[in-house]
Amino acid sequence: MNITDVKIDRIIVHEALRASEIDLRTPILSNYLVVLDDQGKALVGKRLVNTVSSGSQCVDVSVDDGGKGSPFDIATEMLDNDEKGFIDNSKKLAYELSRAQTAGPIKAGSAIFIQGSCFADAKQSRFLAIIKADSDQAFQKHYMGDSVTLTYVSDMLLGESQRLIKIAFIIEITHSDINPNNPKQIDDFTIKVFDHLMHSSGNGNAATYFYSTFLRCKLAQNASWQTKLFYEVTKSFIETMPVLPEDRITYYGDVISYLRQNRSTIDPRTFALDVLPYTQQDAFIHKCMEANINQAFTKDTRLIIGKLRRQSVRFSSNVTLYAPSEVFRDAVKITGTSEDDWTELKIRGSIEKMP
Amino acid sequence: MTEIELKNAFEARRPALDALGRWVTKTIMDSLEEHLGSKEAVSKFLQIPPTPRVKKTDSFLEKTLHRKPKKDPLSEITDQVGIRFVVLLLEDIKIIGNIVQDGPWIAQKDRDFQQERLEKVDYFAYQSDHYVIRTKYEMKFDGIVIPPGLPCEIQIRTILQHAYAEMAHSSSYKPPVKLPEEDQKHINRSLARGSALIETTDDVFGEIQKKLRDYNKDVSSLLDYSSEIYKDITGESANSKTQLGEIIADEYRGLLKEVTKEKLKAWAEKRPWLKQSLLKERAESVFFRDSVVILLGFLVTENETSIPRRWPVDSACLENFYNMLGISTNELF
Repeated sequence: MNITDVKIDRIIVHEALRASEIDLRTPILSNYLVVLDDQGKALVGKRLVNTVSSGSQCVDVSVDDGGKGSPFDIATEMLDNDEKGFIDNSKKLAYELSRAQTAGPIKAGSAIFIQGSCFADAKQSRFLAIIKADSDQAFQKHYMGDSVTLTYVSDMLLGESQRLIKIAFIIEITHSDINPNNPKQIDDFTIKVFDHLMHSSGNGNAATYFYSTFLRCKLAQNASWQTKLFYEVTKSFIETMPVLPEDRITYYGDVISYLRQNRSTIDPRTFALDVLPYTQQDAFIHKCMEANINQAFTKDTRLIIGKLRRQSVRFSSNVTLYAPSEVFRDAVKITGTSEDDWTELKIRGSIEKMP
Repeated sequence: MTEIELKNAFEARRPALDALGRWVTKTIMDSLEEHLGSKEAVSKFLQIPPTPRVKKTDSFLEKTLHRKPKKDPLSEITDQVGIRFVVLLLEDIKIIGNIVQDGPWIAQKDRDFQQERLEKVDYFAYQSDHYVIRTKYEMKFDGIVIPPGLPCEIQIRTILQHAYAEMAHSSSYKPPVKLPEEDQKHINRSLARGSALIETTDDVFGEIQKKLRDYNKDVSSLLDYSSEIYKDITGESANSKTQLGEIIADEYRGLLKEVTKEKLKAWAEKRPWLKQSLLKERAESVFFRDSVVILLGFLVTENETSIPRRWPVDSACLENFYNMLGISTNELF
């Protein structure tokens, strides 16, 4: 989704503790909105675009629990709240976030609530962004005459590094209810989540607590279908790439190993930059956009598991060579073609048997 | 008319000649600005700022009485006030020539060097276009009355022709001393060689310009069209044909083959937020006041990974631009 013309209306920041710390002390929950100048608002807008707009690594999630008092209910109510209601509701959610921060590696940090408007794919929409931001350490530079001094800053927020934020971007795609007091409909919203821990599997609760435990959302259900679509778009792109046949086989092998890697999400840009020659990257991203894949999605290979298990090459003489895909890459090498239409191969290993 | 009477008559018309010179200069400069689009473009176009000059009285009298006898010198001597326009290329001469011929006066072409080249094919000498214009009716400029029929000579030449004319003027046309005939012949021969060289060089410059223009034609028309779209969207004029725009367009020349006016238009129409965003950003940075942002916006949308790799200027403005377009810069910068 293309997010543009971000305008920030209200911001509030609270402390988000680890769940175990709540028993020891109450998190600091602010009673006042943050006043930011235009440059500050522009920077916040920039961070939002970079984490949730086209080309970002955010994924869509769907609401698992949208009932009365749920985080979805509170967050969407905040869009219509007066200032007091906005502050109170943000405190409730900040507290919920602290309660959800149980897993080992999760750090205490800040819960930032940003309400504003933007164009979402050319449609004017309202949004609420909930950010869990870890503090960073840095230096502030000062010029004093002809010297430069540095001041240590221990609690810097929303720096460039995306590893230090988790974000839920809740966009009101359809404004169907004219009565602001009525509960919001789940279908009227799109929710995008960015959390860098979600990209690699094996992070367990640390990678899921933000969207799942805290927001009570689940990964979008069409993940297997999207993964299959991505595989098909990629395969057909590689088939038409202007490269030698033997290179095409290598690229196809790269796709298989990319999809088999220990990663939870896939995004077309990262794939293009990691796998494809740079002359083909933009064309590939374009192809994905045509197929409506313009951001990351959750990987689910269940519909293509068979295709990923085995790689094969068929020759014009009807000979087909099969190998497990993890073996194919290192054990099969195409070394050349002769003028009389023979292909020379090298296969690691000796002939063992004819099954 | 005696010389004293002629002197007095000429002196009496000096203010009118001066006013005529300034009026003609202003009229031509205004038309040039309209033709070229801006005052800056005019000052770039003209190699030397044109300054009208009224002939010195003695110089007028000398011309009248000794060099070229006339029956009615006040009417027949056409360069009583003169203006010279010096341009870079032969083709530029036509631009001013057309303005002169269409001006609010009676214009007559006195010297046409292209015509002279054809008439005297083996003769190389001074080359310049000369026009004589005369006022149609009595008029006033800066409070000074200019009578009808007052002449003004306009010379138009390239900077190379001008260099030759200045050289020839001091050595041949008006020799300071009388040279022995044999030496004068050698000088004349050298001047002819110089003139031939200058004619050749002017032609070569013209060819270079044509090649560059052909090469740049597509880029130039896309930048012009970007400028139109920018104006349509924002209601504000963009800086167009700037060095910044040309550096950027030139860097991505290879990608421009796929760009058409229709695609640019469709790209802009699909982005209803563009107006607000451009109006906001243009107040902050000259980059967003440049019409190239329209063309670049299209290119970024189609080539998000390759644009930053070859970005020719400060990358901070490109990052801001990606942000305005709603394209994450993640992993690209």
